[in-house]
Amino acid sequence: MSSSLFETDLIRFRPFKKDDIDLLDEYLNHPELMGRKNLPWGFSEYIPLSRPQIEEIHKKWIEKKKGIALAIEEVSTSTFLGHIVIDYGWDTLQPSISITITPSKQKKRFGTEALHLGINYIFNSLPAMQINCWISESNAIGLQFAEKNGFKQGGRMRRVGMAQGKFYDLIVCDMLKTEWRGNQ
Amino acid sequence: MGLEGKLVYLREEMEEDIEKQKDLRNDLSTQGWNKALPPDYTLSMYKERFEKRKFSFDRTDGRFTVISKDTDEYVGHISYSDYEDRFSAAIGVVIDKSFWGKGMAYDAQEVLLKFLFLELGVQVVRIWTESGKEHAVDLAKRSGFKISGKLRNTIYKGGTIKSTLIIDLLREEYFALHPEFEDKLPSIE
Repeated sequence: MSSSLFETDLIRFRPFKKDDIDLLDEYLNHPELMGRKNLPWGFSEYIPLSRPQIEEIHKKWIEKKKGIALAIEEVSTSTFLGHIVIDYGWDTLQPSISITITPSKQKKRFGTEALHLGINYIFNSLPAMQINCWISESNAIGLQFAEKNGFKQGGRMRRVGMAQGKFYDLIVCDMLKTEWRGNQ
Repeated sequence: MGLEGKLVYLREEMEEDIEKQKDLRNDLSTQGWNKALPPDYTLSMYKERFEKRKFSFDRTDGRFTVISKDTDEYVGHISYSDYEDRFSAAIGVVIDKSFWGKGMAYDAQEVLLKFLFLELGVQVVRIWTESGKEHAVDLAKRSGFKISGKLRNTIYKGGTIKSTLIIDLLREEYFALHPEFEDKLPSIE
């Protein structure tokens, strides 16, 4: 068993590299990830991203302050699996977490492993009292994933955007440090 | 036509407001955010903030000073931020304690909501506040806002742990409460 902060036997987090641009271009424009790419504020989750936009996102992730944005890769093959973003720009007491896994690698425990690694990092390294995540109401898989891994729904942020001709809400979910400790 | 209510009117910020803004920010009972601590803001900091505002037709915020119609006194300030074109904005209001309980905050809030829904055509207005801040929640509810979400244990303030409340008001909810206005903006849904 690996003892690294950002590595398990199955996955590891690594910084984005200069030559990840091509990989990100393909990954972030994958039609199945529409609406659940977890992009920096201001980028559309639905509109295909241009090369300069991909480069801007890449730069934001590489230079991220008050949080982390890292690539997730498989330990055994070093294959790119997706990305994790932890953000405590507003307040370190309440970081948010988001994970995206490339469609061909979903449902293989990579997301679960990445989430647990991210949660452990937050509660073992930051003065956080809770972790939150914000999931589109249309993302049933994401909501199920969050709930299965201990997050509780706390209502919604109504009418955050429009998709396919309809307004949609974000469901807010959180996990308290006391709940996390209880599940250890 | 200005931004005018029954008790107050809203005008642009002026340099003469800065000292009062600074005082409200440095008072723990009137400043809203834990994030804004410590309460040691200086006049020069506020002057810099005031002077840094740039001319633009692509603004994402609006900051107004609230003035009493009766006495022309400075009452406080009200603002919107996170404005997304024709879609959403978040608002916040701060009132000098000497004007609390006189309906000034509600009046200023109604003026700003009318501006946001009837002039900017937004679909939703949000307020972010915290549990235990009953006056803020009551003020929001009085204008028709609903608590739609809650994030637990997000704020440490005054020695206690509080939750973030996500409060919002949809366009159709606003017009349902204001039959004096007709929503002539075609539905985008």
